[in-house]
Amino acid sequence: MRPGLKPSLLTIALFAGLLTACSGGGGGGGTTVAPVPVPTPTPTPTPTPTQSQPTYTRGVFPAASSFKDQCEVPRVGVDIEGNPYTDVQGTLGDELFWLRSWTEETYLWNDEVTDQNPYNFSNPEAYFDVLRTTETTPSGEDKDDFHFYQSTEDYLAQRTAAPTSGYGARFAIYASAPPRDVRVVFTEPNSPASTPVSGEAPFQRGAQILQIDGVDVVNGGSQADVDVLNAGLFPATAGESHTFVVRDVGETARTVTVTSANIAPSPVNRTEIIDQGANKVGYILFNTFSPTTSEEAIRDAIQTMADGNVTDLVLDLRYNGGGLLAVASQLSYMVAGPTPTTGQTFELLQFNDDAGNRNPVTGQVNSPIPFYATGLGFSLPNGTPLPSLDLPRVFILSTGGTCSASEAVINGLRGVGIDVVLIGDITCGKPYGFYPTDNCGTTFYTIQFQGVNNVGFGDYADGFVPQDNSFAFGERLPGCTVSDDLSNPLGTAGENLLETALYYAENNACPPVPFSSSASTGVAPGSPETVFDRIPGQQLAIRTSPFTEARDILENSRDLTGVN
Amino acid sequence: MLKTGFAFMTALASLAACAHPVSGAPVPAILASEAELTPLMAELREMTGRANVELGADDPLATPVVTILPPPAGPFEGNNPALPTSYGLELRDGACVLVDQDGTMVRTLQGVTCAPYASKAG
Repeated sequence: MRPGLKPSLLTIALFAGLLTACSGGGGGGGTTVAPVPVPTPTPTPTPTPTQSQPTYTRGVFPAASSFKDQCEVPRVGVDIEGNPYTDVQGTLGDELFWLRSWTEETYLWNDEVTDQNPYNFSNPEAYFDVLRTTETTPSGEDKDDFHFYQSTEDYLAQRTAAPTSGYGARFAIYASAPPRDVRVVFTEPNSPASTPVSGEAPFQRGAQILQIDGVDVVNGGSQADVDVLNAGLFPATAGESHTFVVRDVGETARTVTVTSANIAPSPVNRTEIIDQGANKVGYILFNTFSPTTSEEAIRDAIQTMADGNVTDLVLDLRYNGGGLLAVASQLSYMVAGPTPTTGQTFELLQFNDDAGNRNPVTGQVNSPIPFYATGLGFSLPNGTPLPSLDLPRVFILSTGGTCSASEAVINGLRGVGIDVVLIGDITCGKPYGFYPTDNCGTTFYTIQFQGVNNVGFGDYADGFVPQDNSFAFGERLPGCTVSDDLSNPLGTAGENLLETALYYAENNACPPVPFSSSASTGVAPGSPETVFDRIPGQQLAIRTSPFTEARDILENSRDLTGVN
Repeated sequence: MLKTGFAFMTALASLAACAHPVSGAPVPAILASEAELTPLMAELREMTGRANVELGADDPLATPVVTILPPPAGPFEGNNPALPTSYGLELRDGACVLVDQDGTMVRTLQGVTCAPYASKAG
């Protein structure tokens, strides 16, 4: 395990069903994960295929389309989005053969998958588990850490853009079993979490949650306690009031009552322009590329920077797990400006060798993603010119939760010669992507593409690494290793990552002695077990007993996208 | 997918600036009224085969463009290559139609009433 690798918020939701089912259990650690109990891939005797069953011939792959939606138990009616199911009566064999052919057609490393007889597997999920590469990265991590599935019902529920109930706070769990340590990571602007009550915001960065509705967060041990804690942390509906005892950094405990509301996370949480001698340094806390509103939000933030005549920019992507690559391209254009980006590639999606110049999933010609200089219609009208800062360098604040499209920004900018200075921790290392695909009620995630930049580079599966980090692998960038600092508000000069970036901007080097916070959070050194707000329909994070299996899974799963 | 939105809009604006409603000649168009949004959305649902269709930032009541958002991404789609899909809105022989970037007609919008787009340039 490389140092500083941090699981992020999706992981808890992804595994929560499994976690609650396995609390206290050991083992696990597989890289295939799902919010449903993982079936044991018990080989079964090869039956003689019936006449209606497909026939297995090693190395021969019928078109996946010939098996699609042919289900052992077809669904009827419509899904939660109102689309009619297209399932028809099929067999288990059809489902297994679809997985096999779909993997052969679309999996990025299809030539590293051992062709195994589908009839040796008793269910599609067990078979899917083995339809992946077993190669490793230079650091020894699994090359494919992102191979998983979930029920299509859950997938559809989670991808709805509707706001969900909550307070507008993101929490981190540093210890999920007694003695627990639950902290506030940040709050959404204009949310119940940040709207002052009696002159003070209910939740502030770094605050420890000590009690919820009378139950001791740190030591509450019964299942009834856990239920109360989870119900309070994650209100099921808007309008619920819950009482918390919180202890802000360096302060005594206080009691707050907070009422939940339907919250849509803000892509841009805050912006600042910091006077640094004669220079102005811009700061943008950008937390997600996922919602379509991120296009307008980041345009507005960059416009604020342009209006403020900033000469350096600090992009805080420490909690940004990615989202829309097109918005990542737009952001990169706005940082670098037209001169280095016009006519250049932001990112090319590379598919398996058999795909040629086609995207094997969509069937379309695989054209590079350019640096978009205009609005694309997400939340800005088509053709709206984007502002640009025309900067030769940018500072990126990072943690292990800096993932996917956030890393694409780093890689895309480096590809056109922009200096990227990394301040914080090693990024998650996910140059890969997939098109989640349903078959017969299960949505499968298999890696189908790798993004490479204008100079063809995309091998950062071990993450982008600040130059001074002791980790021997990954792609090194200029910059400084700094632990996330919960003791100061984000976007303030006293916050360790930002302060280090400001020092580097002036001195072109890391501080000789790392900055340390004036107030101690009391948080034990190291990464939180999980960071989360909420994914609809998922179970929660607080448990009654140590979570060995969860930890293993979290550490083996680096698909650390943001949660919205 | 429309990847050159600005050029597309420029082309549409140019068309509008030069538009003379000659019989049979395509004319950039907008929806005749807000009430046309309902049949437009029904047409888009049928065209895409999706029960849920959301329009993007372009307002077909004000500009001759219809933009359809991609389906929302799930929380694990950190590298999501989705793009909106944009079409030009035109009047052709009195019918309201969607055209792609090359001007090829994609669909006649049944039951949707359009009006000629009056460009500021025109």
